Amino acid sequence: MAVPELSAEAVAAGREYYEALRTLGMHPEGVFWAYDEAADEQALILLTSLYDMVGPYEVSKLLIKAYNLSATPQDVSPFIVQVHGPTQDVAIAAADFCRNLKGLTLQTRIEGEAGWAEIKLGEPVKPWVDGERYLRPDPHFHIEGTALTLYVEGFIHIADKPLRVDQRKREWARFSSRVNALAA
Amino acid sequence: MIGGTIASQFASPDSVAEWIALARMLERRARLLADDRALASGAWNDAGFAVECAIKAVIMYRERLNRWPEKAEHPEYYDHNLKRLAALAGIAITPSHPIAAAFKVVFDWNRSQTYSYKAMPRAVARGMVEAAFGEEGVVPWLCLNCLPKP
Repeated sequence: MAVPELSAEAVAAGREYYEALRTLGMHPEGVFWAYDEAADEQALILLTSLYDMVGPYEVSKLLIKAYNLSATPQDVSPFIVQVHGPTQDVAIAAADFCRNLKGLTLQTRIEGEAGWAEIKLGEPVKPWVDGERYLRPDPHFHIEGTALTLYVEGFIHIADKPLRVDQRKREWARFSSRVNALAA
Repeated sequence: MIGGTIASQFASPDSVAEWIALARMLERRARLLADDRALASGAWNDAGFAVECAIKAVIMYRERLNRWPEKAEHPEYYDHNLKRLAALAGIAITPSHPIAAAFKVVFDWNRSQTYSYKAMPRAVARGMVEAAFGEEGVVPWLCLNCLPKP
């Protein structure tokens, strides 16, 4: 199945969403765009330890409430935000990939020529000119065993390590009180 | 049975009542498993599957089907993606809908998790069970709003 292009608007909206969550007191361990082949849609993946601590329903209630109070971007429907805990398989695979992203060397084809060039992921993803050659890194990465294909250009944030238990508790208290204060 | 498929050896639901009966059975199992540290992921799987059954009951009722169609007749019904099945059932939930938070949780359900051998935090399983069967959960809401009264 062909992976649809991720628009610049979606990348910008994802960044805005991440910033909005931080303003509300949530510090996600990961935020990035992926194509969910099973659902045939682009999804904004949100990794947070709060998912494991309080469960998906409590997190969902606050995300929906924040959206309805316009505290998160209206371009990002809560229904396209897939929340995962750091212990879920998808999250582990994605996080491993993300953590290795900057150091990973990718072989990529040079357009118009037979042959491959090595570039570092984490370099600018958009085509760049080297003499007269254009290098195009593969913009997608499929996570084996899942329906998710990650957009390299859609990475917004990945934390180095999961939150400690005391940090999670403080984060939940902060996030829930700020969202509920908006609703009051 | 010679030449038959495994699937054909089991009676699958063929009416609204049978889909709901299966959903109720899965609910009971999910509630039992949700508190078990080692088996909590089973609760998550069963809760999502129960929602699938309830949505398929709604499809049968709304489409006035007197039996569950064969795959060749309606391949789109043979789907485990709850968001797509809900759309087929004519269930449209916006973020401002009172049931939106519960639907958001069940829409994130993914059958491939069934293959995971790792333990799941009980809070995750309990959250899914609550979103599926709680007072403001998806299955009770579907039964109340989209299906005939028993």
